[in-house]
Amino acid sequence: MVNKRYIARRLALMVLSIFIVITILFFLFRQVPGGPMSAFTNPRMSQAARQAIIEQYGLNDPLWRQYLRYMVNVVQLDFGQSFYYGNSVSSLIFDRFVNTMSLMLTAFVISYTVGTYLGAQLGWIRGTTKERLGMVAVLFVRSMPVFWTGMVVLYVFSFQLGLFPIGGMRGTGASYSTMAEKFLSTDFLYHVALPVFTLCTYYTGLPLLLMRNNLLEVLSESYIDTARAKGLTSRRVLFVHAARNAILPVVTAFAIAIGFAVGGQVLIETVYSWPGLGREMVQASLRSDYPVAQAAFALLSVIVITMNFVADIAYTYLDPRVSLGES
Amino acid sequence: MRKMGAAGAAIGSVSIAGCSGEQTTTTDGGDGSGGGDGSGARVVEEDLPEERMMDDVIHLAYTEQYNPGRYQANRLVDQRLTDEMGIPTVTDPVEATVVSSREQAGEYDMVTYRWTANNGEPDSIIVTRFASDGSENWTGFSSEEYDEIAYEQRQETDRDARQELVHQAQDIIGEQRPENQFLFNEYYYAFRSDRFEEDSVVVTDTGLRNIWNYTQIEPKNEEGNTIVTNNWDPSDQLNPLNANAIGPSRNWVPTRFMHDMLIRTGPELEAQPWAATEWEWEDDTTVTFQLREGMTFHDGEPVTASDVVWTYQMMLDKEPPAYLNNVVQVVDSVEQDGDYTVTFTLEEAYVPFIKTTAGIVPILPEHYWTQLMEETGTTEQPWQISITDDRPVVGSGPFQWGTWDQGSRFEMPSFDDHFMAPNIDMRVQRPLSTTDAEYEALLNGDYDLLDFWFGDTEQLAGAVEENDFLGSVETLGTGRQSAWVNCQRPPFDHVPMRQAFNAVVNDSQQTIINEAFDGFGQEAHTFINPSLTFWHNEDTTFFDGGIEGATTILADAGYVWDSDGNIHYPEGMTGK
Repeated sequence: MVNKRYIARRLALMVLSIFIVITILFFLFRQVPGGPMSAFTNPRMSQAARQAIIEQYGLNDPLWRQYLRYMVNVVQLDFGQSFYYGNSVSSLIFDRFVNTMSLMLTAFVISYTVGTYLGAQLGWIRGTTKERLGMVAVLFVRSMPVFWTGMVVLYVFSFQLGLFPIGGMRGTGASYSTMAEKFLSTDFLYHVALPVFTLCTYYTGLPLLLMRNNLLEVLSESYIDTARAKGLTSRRVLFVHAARNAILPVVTAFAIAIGFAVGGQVLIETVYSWPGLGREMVQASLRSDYPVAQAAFALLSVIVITMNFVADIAYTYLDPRVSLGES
Repeated sequence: MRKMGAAGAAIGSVSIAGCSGEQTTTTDGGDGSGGGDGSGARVVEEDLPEERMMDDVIHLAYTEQYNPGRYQANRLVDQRLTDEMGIPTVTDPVEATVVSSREQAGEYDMVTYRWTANNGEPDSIIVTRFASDGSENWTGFSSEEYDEIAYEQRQETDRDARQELVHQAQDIIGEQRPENQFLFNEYYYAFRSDRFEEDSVVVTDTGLRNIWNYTQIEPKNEEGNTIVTNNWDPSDQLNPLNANAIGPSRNWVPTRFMHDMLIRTGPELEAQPWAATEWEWEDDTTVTFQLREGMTFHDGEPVTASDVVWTYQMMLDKEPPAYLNNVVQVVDSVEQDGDYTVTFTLEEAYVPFIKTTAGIVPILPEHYWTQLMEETGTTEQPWQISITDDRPVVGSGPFQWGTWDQGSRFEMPSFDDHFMAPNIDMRVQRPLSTTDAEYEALLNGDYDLLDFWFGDTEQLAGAVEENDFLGSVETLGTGRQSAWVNCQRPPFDHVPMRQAFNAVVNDSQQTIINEAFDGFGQEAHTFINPSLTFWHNEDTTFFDGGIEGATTILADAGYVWDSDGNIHYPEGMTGK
């Protein structure tokens, strides 16, 4: 199964990768023309005031010193203060992260559940007209750019029919005392419905196609014939014997998708005015708000790296034949 | 219904009578071709030396996506300069953040954007932009004669005498042309006329997003009691001591609504009593304010002179970057006399004080801010304190802190104990990220009015025309869109070149207004907007005659063209 030394080596590599990513981010953002001062959009600010702010953020120090200070802080999980918001980066990123995940996780869980199920069904009825029609439909939906789907969905259900809100995460006057209340209220569900629906039309395709193709392979295995010969119902053959083995690549895809979900869907967040991390990353980069941009991209890479690792480990449990770290 | 703001009432009344200064008449060129391309005045020479050829003129600009109208205007002018004048001009569109940094580094020949007069006070342009040591004089323009007038006007307490100086300043800049106006923009905003009494809507230079409108607007029904509006970028900084909170309007509007200032500029941009009922200049450097009695902060504590003194004294001590220009560098001392009298002593005479200092500095509650500074341990740089729902703003303004989900919504209930208590119950900012969504939200009733409109003006005006439940307002604002030129390097370090550029711009203004801005704008020849009626000098010098006029100015200054139509510097001058 999993070798302890292997895990230790992987963990060390992960830490090294993250260190390199954070270092690259630090220098990369400082190469962007403009600089953080131009983000202070008040053009009336005097030179003296500008100088005061530059000093306040330590931007007048040599780059290597800024870098050292930054790394020391990051090790203590202190990502500093946003130039733009003037607030702590950690709390800002956390806030946006929760918003994004509430949207993306909902969409992924629905897409991967529905996609896996439908994929198995389509694989099972291979060769029929129904399957061919199903495949055409899936490929059609999967080929639509997600922002375009978003605009059409918004236009129909919100602008024209007025069934759903035009955007944002919550309605006027809605108030909540706890986080749970905030994300379980009907007001939230009402706002999240359209973006989740849009995302699902796009994301359901991948697990569905993966599942179908794997199932086709698995179905040709002899143990499936054995199962049939035992007189099991087709439902049982499909879900207990075939689907369980076909699901492996879907699990990897799911783990990696979760990793990238952190970056959100910038276009969907824009179409639906969703205050998520994806938009914040783009804006922070445009504003040269280094601390926010660096922290957001660092978070993204940490999660992608971690989820890849988790997927590898999960594999060994789902498929006992796979073992890691043994030559 | 179209409602015109007081500041907008001047629309259409400005004439272009102001005429060119001492410009000479067009001379006949020798080649007899004449015509509108200016070739009639051109002096064409052969075998001109390479070093007299003009390099590319870089026009630093915002991207088309950022502001399509502005971009098209730039393209038009650049094309005319290149094609009709033989001046090789390159439009160089860059991201918004890059424009200002390159401008400040002097890496441009001309740069175009829009700029306003702070609170309708001309001093913010006259000294800051064009005095040799002005803090935002990025053109590098320098003139002793101008500097003298610029500093004299800020000390001139006689209003008529000051007007004369402000007019003179405009005339010098008009003659020297470090700035060339494209147009005075007109703005269009819409609101739900089925929810508000139309007569109660107040329009100022900032359109509908002004305190007079939000305190006076009269709801017709329940839906009008809560005003939900857009704000293009969501508010991001609400600590009133932070530079970012008093600059961009996404923060400055709510900050200004939650706090009181000693005075406010009224709909006509005049200083009006607010927290102070009256004020009096005792001499050129001493001014005394009488506070309104019976005011309270949102937590019920009374507003007194000691809060005012504490606010200003704290600024003098801690020097917040946001208030360096108008408080730290201006005020010498501030003292109270009893509970309701405050006296300021200034470093030197500074006439704009009433509007740019007393009209902008928010009165902060001493008891609350000392507590905030102690709790957070931020005693030296209180502008760093992060203001959130857990640590909200307590002010005394007509609106108070409600809830803030940064990025998605900010609610401000009205403060019923205020002397100008609003007629509505609450104001809510809910940003949507596209203008299409904003437009639909107004139509379907999610929005009650638009504080900002950066979308297609014709589309919005069309909707108002079609729907009885929508009303609209227009305003001229206090700004102008201009191209500033770099006076520190060729070609614009040479005055005739700037004057010729001005002639080309002026000749293009009607096209710019009609084609790029759908007719929403006026011709502009000076940096003071006609909405500032008293300060605007409608006789400011400018240069006309179009391409012909421009060519004449350049030919008289010794510029010549080669047979391919490329311009060359006069003898003895070279490019960059």
